[in-house]
Amino acid sequence: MSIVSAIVIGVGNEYRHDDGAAIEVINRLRRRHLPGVSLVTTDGEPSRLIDLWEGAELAVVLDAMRTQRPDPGRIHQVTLDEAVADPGTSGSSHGLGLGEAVDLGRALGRMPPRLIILAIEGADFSAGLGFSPQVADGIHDLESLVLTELARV
Amino acid sequence: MARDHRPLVERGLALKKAGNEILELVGGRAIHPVNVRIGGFYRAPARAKLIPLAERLRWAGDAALETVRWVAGFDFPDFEHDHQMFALSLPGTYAIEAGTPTYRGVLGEPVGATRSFPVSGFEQHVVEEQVPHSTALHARLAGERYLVGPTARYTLNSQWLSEPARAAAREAGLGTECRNPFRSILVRAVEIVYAVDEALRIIEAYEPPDRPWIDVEPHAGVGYGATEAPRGVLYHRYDLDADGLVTAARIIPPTSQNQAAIEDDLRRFVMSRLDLGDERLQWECEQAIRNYDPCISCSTHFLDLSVIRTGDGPAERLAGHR
Repeated sequence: MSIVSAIVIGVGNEYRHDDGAAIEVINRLRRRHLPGVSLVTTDGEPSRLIDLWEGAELAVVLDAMRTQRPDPGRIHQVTLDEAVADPGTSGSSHGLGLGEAVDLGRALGRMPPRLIILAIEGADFSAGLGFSPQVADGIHDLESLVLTELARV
Repeated sequence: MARDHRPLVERGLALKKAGNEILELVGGRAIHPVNVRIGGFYRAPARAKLIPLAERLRWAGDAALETVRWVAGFDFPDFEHDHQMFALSLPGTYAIEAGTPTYRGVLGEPVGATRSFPVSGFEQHVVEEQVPHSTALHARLAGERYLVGPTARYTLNSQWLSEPARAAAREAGLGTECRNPFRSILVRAVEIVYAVDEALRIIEAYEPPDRPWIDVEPHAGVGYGATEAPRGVLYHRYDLDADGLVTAARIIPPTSQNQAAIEDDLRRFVMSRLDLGDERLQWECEQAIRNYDPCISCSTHFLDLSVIRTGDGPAERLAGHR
């Protein structure tokens, strides 16, 4: 495992409207050609997340989230210690979620020194392209937040 | 489990990663592969790229054999079903990506008595229907419930497994057929041995094609296809118009095909365990569902079990999953 200074991981499915918000942020970041920063997209499957973030000094995981009373576009920042497993709310159609990945990474001793999770609330997770208007605005804020975190490395 | 059995979890994750690497190399990425196109693939891997993969797969073969031995030591409930078993069959190989839909009748029919039909006849033989008690579709084969997946594949096709996989199955105590759904995890482990052998066989024989696709001219017609997904037979049909546009599509996944068998298993399984406490019963019922379909049960607590105990005789128990 090579050491990179930072990795930004976008979780989601670009073919499910707002679920692709994090993928869109990664696409925008790629156009900035950030030195020393690895940019990847994935489905959020725990073992892949762990493989990706292991060895990085800083890992930023971006994801879209559903809430019971959605405030689309609102961004939540979760620090490493606050991420807890909550299998009942896993939004992925491919298995487990981010909370499980953190739990598994901790149990296996495969966590980065710093892990920041930025999650944007979505409204529309149905099949199709494009974002809800509030999420489209939020994507810009999400990109700015990532850049701010990367600037601290 | 990761805390208590770390080496086993690490081995499982590394095996999974080896599989992902195959898909990344062939499909362009591990999920929702992008390298497949009409007529073939956009790019074919160079031989040199397969060398490190083959090295990893040789490790995976050993890890898969160790996994079979480990799983063989599990405590499996004593339980047998009498469902029909349905899988693709292709003499000479353990069918995965192609084969003829083939089924064995209910328990008691002679071993080797199988029936088959062409993939284009799938929808005449397999009928999905609504049932009053559930929102899930139930499929029937020749009018009867049936199951697809590892134990059906193994029962119909085990003679076509690679020699190491057959030997692993024998060592693990699997016979010529497997009707205990709790042992499906054992068959899955044997299938991993086979998958690794098959991947290595393909790599050894691989010559990169000049062009990894063939030209396809659109014309009106109907396309039928069936593969063995890990959970069982997956059927697709596409109707195309003269421009090649899809005008109708039909997908029959393993989920609906196994639904009636899962429910029947649950009912019979619960009936034989009425003396258990609710918590233990729920745990065993969750196992009974996972035997077939990990996709239903990817969450840890997916089963709402309501138990209505009556004072006289057997209790009535209702189980449902969300």
